[in-house]
Amino acid sequence: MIKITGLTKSFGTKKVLDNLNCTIKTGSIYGLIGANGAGKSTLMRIVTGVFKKDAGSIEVDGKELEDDEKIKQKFVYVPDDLFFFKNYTIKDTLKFYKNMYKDFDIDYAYEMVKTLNLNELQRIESFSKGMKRQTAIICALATNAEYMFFDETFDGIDPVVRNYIKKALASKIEEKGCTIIVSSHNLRELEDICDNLGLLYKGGILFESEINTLKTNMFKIQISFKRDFSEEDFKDFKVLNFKKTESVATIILEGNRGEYEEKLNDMNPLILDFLPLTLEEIFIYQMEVLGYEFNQMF
Amino acid sequence: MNLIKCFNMKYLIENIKKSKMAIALFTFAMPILTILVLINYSDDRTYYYDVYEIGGINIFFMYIIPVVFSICMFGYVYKKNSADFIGSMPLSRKTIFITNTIGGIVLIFITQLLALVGCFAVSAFFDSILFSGLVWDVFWYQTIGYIFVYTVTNLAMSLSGNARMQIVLTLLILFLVPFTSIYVKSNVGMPQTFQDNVEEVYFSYIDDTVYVDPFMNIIANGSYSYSAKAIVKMLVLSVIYCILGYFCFSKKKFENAGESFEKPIIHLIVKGLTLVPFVAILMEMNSIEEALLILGITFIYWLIYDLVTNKRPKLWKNILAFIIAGALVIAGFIVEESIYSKYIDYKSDEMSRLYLSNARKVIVTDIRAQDCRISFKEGFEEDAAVLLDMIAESEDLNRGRIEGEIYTNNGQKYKYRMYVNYEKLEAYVKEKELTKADSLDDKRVAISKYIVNAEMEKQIKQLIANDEFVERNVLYANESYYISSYVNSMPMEIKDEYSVIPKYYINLIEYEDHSIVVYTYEINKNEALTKLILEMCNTSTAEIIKKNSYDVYLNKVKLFNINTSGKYGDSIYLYGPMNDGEIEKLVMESAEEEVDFTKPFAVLYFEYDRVDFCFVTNKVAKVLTDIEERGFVGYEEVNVDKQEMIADIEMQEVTSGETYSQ
Repeated sequence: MIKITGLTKSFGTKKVLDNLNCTIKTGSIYGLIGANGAGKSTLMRIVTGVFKKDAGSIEVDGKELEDDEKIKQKFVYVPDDLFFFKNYTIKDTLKFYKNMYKDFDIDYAYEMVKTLNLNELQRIESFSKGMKRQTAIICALATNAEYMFFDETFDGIDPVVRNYIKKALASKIEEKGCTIIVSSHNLRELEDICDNLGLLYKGGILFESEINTLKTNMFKIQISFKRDFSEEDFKDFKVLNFKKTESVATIILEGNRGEYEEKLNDMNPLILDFLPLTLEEIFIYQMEVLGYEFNQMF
Repeated sequence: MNLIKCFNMKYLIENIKKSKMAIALFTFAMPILTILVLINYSDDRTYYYDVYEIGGINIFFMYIIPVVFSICMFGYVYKKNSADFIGSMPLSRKTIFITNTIGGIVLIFITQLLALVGCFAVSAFFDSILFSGLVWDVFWYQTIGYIFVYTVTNLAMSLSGNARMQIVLTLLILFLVPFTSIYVKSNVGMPQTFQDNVEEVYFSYIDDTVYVDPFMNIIANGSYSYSAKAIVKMLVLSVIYCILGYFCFSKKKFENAGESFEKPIIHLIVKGLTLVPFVAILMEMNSIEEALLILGITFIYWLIYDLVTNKRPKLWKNILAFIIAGALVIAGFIVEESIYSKYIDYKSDEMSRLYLSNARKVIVTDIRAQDCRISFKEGFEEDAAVLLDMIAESEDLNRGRIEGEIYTNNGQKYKYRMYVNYEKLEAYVKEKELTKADSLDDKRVAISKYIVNAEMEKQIKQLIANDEFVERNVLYANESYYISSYVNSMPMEIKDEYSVIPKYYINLIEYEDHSIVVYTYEINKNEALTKLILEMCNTSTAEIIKKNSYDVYLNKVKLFNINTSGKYGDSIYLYGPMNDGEIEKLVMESAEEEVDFTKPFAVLYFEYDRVDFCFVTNKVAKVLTDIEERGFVGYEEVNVDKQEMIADIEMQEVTSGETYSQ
């Protein structure tokens, strides 16, 4: 588990992380969402040892994070701006990683290379952006590091590969108990990958929750009655958002779906539809509850 | 800190592997070029005088190879996108720094080791005369020099993430202090006017400062030779720079990777320091117009610097900074000059002062010299005045020690060696040191700058082994370059019939105590040796002419024992290129013949590559006939009929039983 407390980092006079607190549980996929410049990459870089923190504490499995090789063996970081050595092929790069990481599984890496149909002897420089990302992901997964950080890595990967990687991530968590931390400025990119989400805003974690909890506790209904009705009729419910267009209302509710469904049916609605909420919508409504305008954050 | 724990071999191998082409190129380039140069010079049996002779290419690469190694080992660490990559790897900062530092040093060792092995290999397989001590000196001096430049570059990289700033910082760390020092010392206290009053004489001495940077020592001292002081300084500074570099690296903010200094004041200080050479040039200007031109160029540079380093200060701030920085640098120069001026004025009231100038009444001084005043011990003033008069004509000014022969007003002749004791500001004269060589075993025998072959060397050593004195000249480490002019300026006069060889001395050369030591031996003391040398002269001259006939000049011909009838002078001179096949043929045919010095003989003086050779032959008439055919270009007037003289000499040759066919 990574426990971050009061983390602060400034670039010159600009405070990028301001007293950030967050907890990343072991064996999960943690999504770090935030606008460009929110501090996602900075947070990842500090945890992985690229940057030094100004203040605060980072505990990894109960121990304070230090510039120590043993602790760093637990991390692998795939930055947004990828770097490969000039003229290096996948084969060379895998060898490099093998020499760097004690638990690097080169057979696993070659298997992935084969599955993703990458040429191990071709220079990485000549790869497309997507292929470079795939290469970086392969290297990272093969390290078997306890904590894998992917900085906007899955953005723009095609759905087939994405699905494959998603499965690979899941099996890594299952087999090795790894923890994956993925950042993105696009919620849709994280929706189908992450277990937990943290929203980074102005250098701090504004909101943090499990996606399943969010999805099961928040739902959207479309409802209509013979009679005229208003938001007042739903005072027994936790209404996050209420919009009425003529005789049909669209309501975002937070709470136990089973209980709410029973109660709503008791009200004899003409129409009652439960609609799925996208993660983005969940976030928008949650932010509104917290008093933030979600659109201004992105 | 446990260095072994911080060293990661796997990382080092990977790091080298990623730049293998560049590293391989620069590891092998210098040794290969050094070997090629040595092979190129290996066939003329010239020995190598100093570190520069065999380390010239090494010096050239001193500012390239360590910088390339530094870029290969560290460069990518400071780039924006690669900083993430390497920073997140399971390597601590101290491991990265220590592994790369040690790796670079190992590469430097390999490069120098290859050059060392190459030097010895060339010496073993070819005729290059390399003193092993000299080669080892080059190895250590250059290795430490390379490590020094490497640590400086590493430090510069740790200080700034911006490649252009790294170059600026490297140059500043390497050259700022010695440049300023050399500039100030070469410009302080220079007498502007020469005074004829002999009561006032300045003595110019060569500043004994040993700079850290070997290249700066070449500029300051005019030579490149082993310097233990420089090595110690470089070692100490390398350790300090390593520690500083490590400290900066471990504290480095990689969020600024690829960028120039974050703080404007640091940017301004570094930019201000780069003004030093401009201010130095500005202070040299003699007119307002020139000064304004330099000022304008300097200001343009000041603005361009910001563009290059991606800084955008406001114009008025930039102008203000320019004025302040310029004023501070000028003030720095003035303060430094005043420090040296105080030293020069020391004891000025107590001394009789003399100007030491050369024959053209020009103060003997140069960039590596400066003026100071000296006093003489009681009763020495008269001798000193005479001595200095002599020195003034000789230009033989050599690092606070002047030597030569002197004739005083009362006709007394003695050899002198004058030392200047800088601390006591006293000068004194000492008899020249004469000594017998302890052992001839380790010494190589040379005539002029050419080492004789092993067989000849053995014979010569046998002939002079029991002779009482040879003169020992220690050419101090920093003076060894003088050896070149020293051996080339040997007297060429023929003293008597046995001394017809062009060189008055043979040299026994040895490399000891990091310097070339030359034992000179007067050939004409030993008849057997003279004959032996002459035979060798004829053989070697024939070899040289055979190889380079188009580049050999016949400078002079002198005739001996031709004046039996009392009609002629004893010399005929001729100058010009030896484009005459007949002379060449004569030399080739007569090279192995013995010479009888009781009969008429001619000495032909050749010149090749600024070195003189001679050839002695009894075939005087043949020589004269050839000269006659060429029209006696530049001959010394002989008031006789030339044909008659040739016939007369032919007759002498016939009557003395010597015949030859044309």
